[in-house]
Amino acid sequence: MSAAQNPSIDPWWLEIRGPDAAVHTRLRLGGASLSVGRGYGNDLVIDDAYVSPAHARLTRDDDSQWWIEDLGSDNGTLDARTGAPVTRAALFDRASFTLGRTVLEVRHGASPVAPTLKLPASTAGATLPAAAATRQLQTLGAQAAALMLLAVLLSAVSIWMKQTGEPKLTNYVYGAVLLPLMVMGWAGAWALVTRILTHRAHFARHLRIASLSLLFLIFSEALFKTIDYAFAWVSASSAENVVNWVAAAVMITAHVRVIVPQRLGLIAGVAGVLALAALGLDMSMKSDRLKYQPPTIITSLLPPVFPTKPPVSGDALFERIGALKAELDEERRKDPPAGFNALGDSD
Amino acid sequence: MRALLLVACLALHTIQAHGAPAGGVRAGPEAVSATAEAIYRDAKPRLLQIRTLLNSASQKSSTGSGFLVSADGLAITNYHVVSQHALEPQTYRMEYVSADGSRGTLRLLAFDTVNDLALVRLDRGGWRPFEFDARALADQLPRGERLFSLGNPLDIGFAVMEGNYSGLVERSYNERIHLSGPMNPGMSGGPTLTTGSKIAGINVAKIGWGAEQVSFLVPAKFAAALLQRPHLPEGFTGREVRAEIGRQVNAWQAGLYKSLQDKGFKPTTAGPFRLPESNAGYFTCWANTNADDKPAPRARADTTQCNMQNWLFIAGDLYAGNVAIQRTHFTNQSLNSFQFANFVSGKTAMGTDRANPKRMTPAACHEDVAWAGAADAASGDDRLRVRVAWCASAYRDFEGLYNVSFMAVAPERDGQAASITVFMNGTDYANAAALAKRLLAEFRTGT
Repeated sequence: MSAAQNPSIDPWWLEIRGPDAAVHTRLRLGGASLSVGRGYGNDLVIDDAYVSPAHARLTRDDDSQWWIEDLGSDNGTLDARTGAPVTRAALFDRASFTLGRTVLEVRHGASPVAPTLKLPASTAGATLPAAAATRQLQTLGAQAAALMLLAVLLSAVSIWMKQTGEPKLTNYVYGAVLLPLMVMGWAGAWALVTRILTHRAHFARHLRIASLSLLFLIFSEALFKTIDYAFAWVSASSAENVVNWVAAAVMITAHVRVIVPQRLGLIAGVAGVLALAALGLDMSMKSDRLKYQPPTIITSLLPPVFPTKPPVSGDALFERIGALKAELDEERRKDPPAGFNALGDSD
Repeated sequence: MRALLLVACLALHTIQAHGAPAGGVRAGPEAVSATAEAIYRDAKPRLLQIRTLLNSASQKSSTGSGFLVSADGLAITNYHVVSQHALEPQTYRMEYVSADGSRGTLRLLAFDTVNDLALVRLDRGGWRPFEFDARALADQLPRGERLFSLGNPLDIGFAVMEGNYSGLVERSYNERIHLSGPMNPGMSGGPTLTTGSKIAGINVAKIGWGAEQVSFLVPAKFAAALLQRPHLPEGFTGREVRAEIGRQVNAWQAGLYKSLQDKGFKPTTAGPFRLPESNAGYFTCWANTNADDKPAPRARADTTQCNMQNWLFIAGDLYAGNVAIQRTHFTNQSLNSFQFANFVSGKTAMGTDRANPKRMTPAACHEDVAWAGAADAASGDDRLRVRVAWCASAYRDFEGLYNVSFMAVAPERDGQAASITVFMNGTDYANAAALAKRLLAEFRTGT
């Protein structure tokens, strides 16, 4: 029996929702009764192991009022809002009942719906969802490619700035070919993992993340060099290192989010801890190694038009330098690092 | 910097020792004159080979030469010959071998690190000592006088080598005699005698490469003075020796830095800049440029490096007492401002000595932007704004001694830049700061 055969009657709809609350099926109620259960003899068969073979029946009385009654099911028919067992109850708009792990929700023909969403102007013409998805993908891909191009251009500028000898083509080839290859390889590896885990590669999204990260690296190098120059800050390269590791954590988080959109906090936390551990390892290795290497400072000169902090007088400078003596004398009292022996101090 | 150390010490270390043939071999008899032969015969019984032995292995660790200066067994050698024993008496001991093959133990009585001399006592007396030449003590040896260096080169037997007195080394802060004659490893600490068999000086070093027959002697007067020094206590410790070395080097460098300040600096022109050059005579300056590089450089860097030829030997891996001043004039040719700044940066990294964590603490550095030029002239547009960096590390074993590098770089002006760097080894902290401050004050614009 189909409701289409009784167009004069107010339509009533039954929505069948699974445990995930998504509507799996909508059924227009027609005729005088509808049996619900797991058995194949029912009008509506529900694939839910917690539903009895003959679970409930919906009937329409002479006043066209629909009722639901439990047919003595094992787990019962419950009011989905209160959880109270129902033996027989009248249906009304938005009434809902739980059968096993399935929810039946009732909708009347006059039940209000949310207002229509406006399509963005640019995609207003695209009516097909598939076309919209393609268009979105194209936008994403174009964005990623543009970002990568920008990164390559900036790196070429950076190489050019550092070019103090005869221009070497190989340097620029590195920037123009190797850099995009590396970025695409990185994005490709993430896309592969994403494809395996979610059945979609999302290469364009990964490429955008990788290109943004590269841009950030180029930017932070220039930024810290300028800071170092302006403030004569010896630790600028260490600070740059820290910032770059933080950026690495952000990048990894973004990549993982493509695969797992939920639990942002957890992913960011894990990536942060990993980056912190890597930073710690990096710094401890460096500090042992670099501590005793000849210091390389004044490495970041810029053209004189760049501003610097106000110069100090010779007196003030050597006052600061004098203060370093105590630091050295303190260091002298410590043992040299493992692997190096001082003169025999057994005496 | 140490790559520029031309002077090689003559102590012979195990690693250099070649298999010695059995029995003494007389080196180069054809070159030795009749006088030399007489002197050799007369001197040989009073010569010693001095060996440093590893206590645990009783094997030679290094050898040098020495000679007797008193009948009861006082002998003179180089500090660098006995330094292992002096610094680590628990690990190394010393013995002597005389020309007749008799052996015995040695005790270190006193040393002079600055002049590289040591006084030792033999375990027995009854020697015929050398005497100092009176003219040598008074610095009155005539140039060209024949001298005879004795010692045990390469651990192959005692030998004599003939040379000529060529006066005091002109470009040396420490007094050293320039001997035109050969000298070989193992002869360190041996005497160089006049024709009258009197001591003119003590063998100490030769030019290691790039020169033939340029050798150095410590003037006899320093050995005579060492005889008057108070002696180390019996059973001295390495700690006491290190304290004494620290005192000696400190007192010596105080004189050096005072001399540097007193002699002052003269300005040299580097485009729009004026860079200071020391007036002190004990610097040797060498200029070099990248102008001849291939491919042709796109900016010029003309460097003048002024080094003191002097280094004080402290241990096999530790030298001190040197000052080197390097100034560079950069000229832009076809680079843009960014590239030129990078070019200058690339030449200003302060690479000092190789890392030596056993001897030195890690460096403590300070980088800043400062006004160069004299403080009283500090006004007007012509003030020079420079980038400065200071790095210092302390000697672990010697209190109050530091290695310091200081650099000032003037940024681009009319397509040119300039830098001055000073490396100071084995210096007092305040003296180093005062010299750096002086150099900064003498770094000016050309007006």
